[in-house]
Amino acid sequence: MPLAISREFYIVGAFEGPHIHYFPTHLQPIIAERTPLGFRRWSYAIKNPYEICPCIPVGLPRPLVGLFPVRSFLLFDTPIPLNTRSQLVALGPNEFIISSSRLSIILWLTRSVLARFRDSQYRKRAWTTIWNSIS
Amino acid sequence: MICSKVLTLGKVDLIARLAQQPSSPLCGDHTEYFNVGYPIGDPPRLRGSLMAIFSPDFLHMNSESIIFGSPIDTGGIAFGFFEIDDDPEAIIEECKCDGQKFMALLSALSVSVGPEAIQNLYRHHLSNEVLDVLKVFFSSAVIDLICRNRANPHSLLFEFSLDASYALAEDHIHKLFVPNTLDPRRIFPQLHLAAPHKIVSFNPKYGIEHAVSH
Repeated sequence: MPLAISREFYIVGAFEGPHIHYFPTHLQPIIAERTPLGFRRWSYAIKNPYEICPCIPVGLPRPLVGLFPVRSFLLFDTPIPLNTRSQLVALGPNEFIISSSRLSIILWLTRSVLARFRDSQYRKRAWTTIWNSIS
Repeated sequence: MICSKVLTLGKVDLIARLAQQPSSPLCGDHTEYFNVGYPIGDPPRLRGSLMAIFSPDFLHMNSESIIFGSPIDTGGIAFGFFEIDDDPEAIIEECKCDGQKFMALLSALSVSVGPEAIQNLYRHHLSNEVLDVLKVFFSSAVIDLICRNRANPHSLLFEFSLDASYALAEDHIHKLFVPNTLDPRRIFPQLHLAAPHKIVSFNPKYGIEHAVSH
């Protein structure tokens, strides 16, 4: 499956609804190409070692809010340019890390654990997420 | 035939049913969409946090709750996943059939099609054996659209929708894939107690396709 390198890809949201409550955790990013007619969603493969590879455009270019028939996924106000090694981690309902640096993700997660130190479940999930980020 | 669904925690009604809590106040009057076989993969067109695979009993037990079935992904037609010369709404209506016809189609496939073709169907790959059965049930416009889009898995999604009266027992759940950051003992306590082997956790960074392949 070819990687469409020359196109302008963005992370525009996450394949999860607003009901997510098990922070922190990785989420699957929604990838879209910016075109003169709007954003066009792309399906992508995730390779191991971790790499996002856009494969096939899905549907037609649309305004960002119209990417899905029903607004059931999280969409970001500002799309973030895609680095193929970008990981998307949710620290809270409106708090996301998007980074290709595993060290940066670990530092952000550690900081968030310190801020929520009394939450043992959060601590446990943070360790799992750190392990996930380097796996 | 087995069926499946990729879902998010936003699907509160289905999550409550998977948790075997049908009397939960979270349960609402929701229509739910499923597809025969596995979710589209390689690569997935739609992602989510969880994936449920249901046993054949699930569809048989709920055949009376089917609102409609369709060999082609009707949402995909409406949303531009296919190049269609005609009116999309007209072709969607031709694709849709009631529960009785959909179950008759699945029965005919079970009887007339070999196990390899069924496995291909589960992966949304068209085989000539399946096509021969489809020709008996659907118009030439539908068959033509399927044939012109053989490489597009949405053309053989075999989707169906159930009204809110559908039942989901523990026996109906074949596998439930959940991210390893979500504690199934908290979200699905009854299922975890009754059948912990049905819950498979995976690294959410890599997505559901890796969970299924490993």
